[in-house]
Amino acid sequence: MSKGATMEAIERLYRTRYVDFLRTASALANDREAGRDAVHDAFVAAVRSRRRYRSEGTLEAWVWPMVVRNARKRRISSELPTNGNLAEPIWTDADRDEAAPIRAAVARLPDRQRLVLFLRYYGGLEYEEIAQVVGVRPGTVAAQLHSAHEFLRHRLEEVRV
Amino acid sequence: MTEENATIALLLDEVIPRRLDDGDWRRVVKDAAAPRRTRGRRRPYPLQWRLGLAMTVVAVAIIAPLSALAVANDWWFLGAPSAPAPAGDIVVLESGSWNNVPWVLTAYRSQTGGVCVSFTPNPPDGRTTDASSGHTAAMGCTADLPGLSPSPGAHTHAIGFIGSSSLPSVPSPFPDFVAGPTADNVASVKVELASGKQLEIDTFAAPRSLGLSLRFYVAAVPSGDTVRAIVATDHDGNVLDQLAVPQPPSTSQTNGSTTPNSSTGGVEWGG
Repeated sequence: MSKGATMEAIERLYRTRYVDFLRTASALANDREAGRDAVHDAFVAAVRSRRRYRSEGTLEAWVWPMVVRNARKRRISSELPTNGNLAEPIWTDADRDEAAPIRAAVARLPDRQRLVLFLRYYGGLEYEEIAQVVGVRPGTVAAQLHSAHEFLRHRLEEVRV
Repeated sequence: MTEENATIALLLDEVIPRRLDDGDWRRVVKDAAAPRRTRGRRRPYPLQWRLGLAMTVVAVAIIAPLSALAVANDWWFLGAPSAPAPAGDIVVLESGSWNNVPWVLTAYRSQTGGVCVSFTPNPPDGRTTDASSGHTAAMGCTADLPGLSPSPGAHTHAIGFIGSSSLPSVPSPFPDFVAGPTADNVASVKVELASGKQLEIDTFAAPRSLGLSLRFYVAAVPSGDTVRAIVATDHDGNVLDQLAVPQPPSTSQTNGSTTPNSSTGGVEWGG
């Protein structure tokens, strides 16, 4: 088991996966700039604490929870002052009206299902990887994704009707 | 990927389109190398956020070293000068012992229509056998929870908190703590710590004698860590409310070994 992560490895991860980190963090924070800040802060923390990394999992699996945590903290800052209604996230990347139904449907998903959904579709993670980030079993990830798919399908069908 | 999943992927792409973006690795390296306390934010928090922070602290803690506490009618907090008077019994919600020091979590309905929550080591008077030990009591009151009598125009929250935050320079055998009331539908509370770790605490119902449909939580904070945020969730994991916890000033100290970690946005105190 190696100790610590190299700057080169962290930089490589940043450069190859930045867009996926950014999209996931933006979705969690409900704001692209907040997502950008979250990814930035997560990688600053990763660089600072790189000596604490242990290679039991991948470097990416070590960084993801930092990104998620920072994005969730940013969500606090972006939602609270606006209207205090935490059940209705505010999507500032909303200049595309055709996305409104899916946006509204996603906003109504339970928090954990939303996280799993974002990690899957914006982060591009496999079930095992999501399970590591979220701290559940892969089977739970599959079940939550299934529930999210069902919910979204029903909601979108309602909209189409 | 199934057709359905592909459809969802396409729809989600519309919500947050995949755009070319390289980030700013040089800035990451620069900020990581900068001293933590002097590192400037790239984007200052907007005024809205700072106001929001003050507004969301629904319970104000009064914290003092036990050696300085006045004791009245057994419970120390009844002697606190600006504490709202009880409208019912002082109810023991939970009790325990950390590092061989007993503690209790109590609450009462206030005459101003709120709830007051107190954490007391060495109950009931909070006196300690060793004044330098740093054992600390705390109390907070709020009316901004469902079922209470919120101030006009106040936003109702699903959670409130009190807590303590020791200064690293004054080691204490008794851990810091976080506790508070929640709305009736809060099943668990996630406490996000500065270290990045997270505590998940199940809430418990108040005894009927309290006369309020609230739930409560209490937990010790791991040594050397501080609370950054508190998240209330329901049985399905849905986030009901979130509070950012103001960090204690690093240079000040309140009468000894601790500083309050929530000191703004009073709801009932000071009236």
